[in-house]
Amino acid sequence: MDDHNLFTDAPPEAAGPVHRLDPRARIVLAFAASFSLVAFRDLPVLSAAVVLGSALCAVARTPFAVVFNRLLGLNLFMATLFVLLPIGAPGRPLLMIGQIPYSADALLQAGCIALRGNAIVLVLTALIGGMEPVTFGHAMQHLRVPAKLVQLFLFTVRYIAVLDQEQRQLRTALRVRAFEPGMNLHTLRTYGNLVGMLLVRALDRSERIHAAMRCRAFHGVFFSRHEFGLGRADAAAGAAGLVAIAALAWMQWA
Amino acid sequence: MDAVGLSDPLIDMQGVYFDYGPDHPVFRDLRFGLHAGERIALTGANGAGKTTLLHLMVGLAHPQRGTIEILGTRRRSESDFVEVRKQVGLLFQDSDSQLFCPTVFDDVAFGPLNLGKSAREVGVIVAQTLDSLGLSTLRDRVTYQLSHGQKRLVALATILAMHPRVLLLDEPTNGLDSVHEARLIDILRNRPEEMVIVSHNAPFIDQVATRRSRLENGGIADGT
Amino acid sequence: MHIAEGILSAPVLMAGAAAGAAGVGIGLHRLDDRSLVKVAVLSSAFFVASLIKVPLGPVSVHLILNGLTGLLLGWAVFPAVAVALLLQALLFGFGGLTTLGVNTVIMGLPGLASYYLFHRIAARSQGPVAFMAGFMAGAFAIALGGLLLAATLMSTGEAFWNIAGVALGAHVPIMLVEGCVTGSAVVFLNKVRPGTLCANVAPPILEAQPGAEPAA
Repeated sequence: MDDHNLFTDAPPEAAGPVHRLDPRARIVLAFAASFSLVAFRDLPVLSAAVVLGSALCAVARTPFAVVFNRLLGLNLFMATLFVLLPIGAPGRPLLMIGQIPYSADALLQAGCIALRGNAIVLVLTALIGGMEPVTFGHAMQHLRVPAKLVQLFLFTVRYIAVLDQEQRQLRTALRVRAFEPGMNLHTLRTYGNLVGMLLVRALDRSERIHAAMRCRAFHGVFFSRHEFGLGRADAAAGAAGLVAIAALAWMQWA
Repeated sequence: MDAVGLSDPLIDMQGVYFDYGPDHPVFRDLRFGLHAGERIALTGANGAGKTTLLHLMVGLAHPQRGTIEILGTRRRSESDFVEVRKQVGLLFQDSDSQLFCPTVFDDVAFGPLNLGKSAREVGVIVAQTLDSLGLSTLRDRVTYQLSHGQKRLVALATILAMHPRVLLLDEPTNGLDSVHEARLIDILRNRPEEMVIVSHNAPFIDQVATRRSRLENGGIADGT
Repeated sequence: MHIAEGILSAPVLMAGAAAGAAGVGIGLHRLDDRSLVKVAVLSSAFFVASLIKVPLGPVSVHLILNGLTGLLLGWAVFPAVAVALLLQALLFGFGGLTTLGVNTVIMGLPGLASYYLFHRIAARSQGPVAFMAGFMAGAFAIALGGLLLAATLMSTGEAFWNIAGVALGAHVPIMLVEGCVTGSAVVFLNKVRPGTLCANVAPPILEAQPGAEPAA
């Protein structure tokens, strides 16, 4: 992530049908879908969920590279799960490694977890993966998330790019003085100083920002002007989401 | 814009003492006046207190001694300066600190909303302000994606949208390319507001300022 | 240090969400508009700092800094962590929405514990003592985070006990890394901008700091 230019390199929002939905609808659907997926625990149901999630990414026209990257990170972790989870776990042993059983039941459990995790990440990527954080913040405001939390979120978004720039300058300054990070105390101490300097600059900046707010007659109330409109497409998307979840639930419990 | 009412300064500072602790004195018995029709260029060495002087004028810092009169009224407390800040606009050196809202519209609207304008009035003010600076196309842009020069002009817009009586500009041309600098000169020359401009940029000062003041030894040395 | 989507059961996720929301609520309740700006900009700084990678044997680890965040922010560590996790989920796809609460607790609670345990001494010392206080705050926050993470995994089922053990073991070198970085950062802050850490002891935060904005 070192040379990742936080926002400017972020994947552009695909101009698919999901993009045209009301951001609030996308967020609510993302929450509803991920929490529903938590409840499913059978291999066939979860496989179907992964298929549905992939289909959703296709409909949303999420760039393949984005989907791939997000699944890669998740599945590196899931791979260790497949190796470690069944070792010494209770249940029918699939094979014995010396005296230690490699549990078939736990392997199945790891499979379910991996599928569930992938399904959730696919749905999230399709629904809110490319959403501009500022849009997300405004949508939260309209979803009655406490105003202070929304303001904190929006301020944080606003200054991440600025501080990332400062962090880069500081690290360039280290590099031109021949600093090479390694596994040693010098590196850790240098990074401690770098973090400290970043915090000092952040604190001074927060003073300037508060001064700027006072200069513009701020008296404790933030205003929002952003208007969203729910339309027929949002209703259709909501209905489609409900049908998909209901179908999975029917597979699971009927 | 003729200099009427010279006897009635917009900003009048008398006998001002200010320090950041005993090791860091800044002003000693400073006098400063801004009169109708003036655009004063304020120069001085690094650390002479140019930014601090602007901060004293809007109450972001308070003097240990001395009087500050803004728009004909003696100002002492934070609540006095709350009123001042509605009429005296300060352009920061650092636009990133000044622009804290997510989008350009939000930022320009922030001041007028705080002044109690209705949403409709604010929409009109923002449109007019951005239009007068030739920034209308940036209206819905996300602030952190703007270029340095664009940020500076938007920061100016956030102040002009409050329709201030006086402008205080802290190093307005810092880091601007020649295109943006020329635009800024053009804008400022056509503004009716009185200004105090901190700048080291001699060609810029020549084109914009009507008078120069130099900060040295904790006070003002007036020039021409 | 976060738990991926798909692992935890609904009751664990719900409990985590409730606890996380409570922490965020208390953290926000204590902020006025000035400290809100401060917390937000510091959150941005911590978000950016957490992208720094430190070489560790054949791999490299990202800084977490929840101990240092706790030292500076106190209860506001919860909203700061929650916002950072939400942004990570949005921008990079690390973590997701169902685990937001659990992960906020796993990272935030140790930060708060470090604040209560080490803040006084870290704020009022210099040199080696400050380094040790910072080291303890950083290392302890990682250790407690690792324990919370392991306990959360174990609550999901007996099959997770060995994963929990491995996860806990992996936190030991990270403890050392975070301890050293946090210790150095505390020494730096006390030297370069004295009072930074004291600011949280007695609100109003950041009052009376001449020189915070020196003259140009």
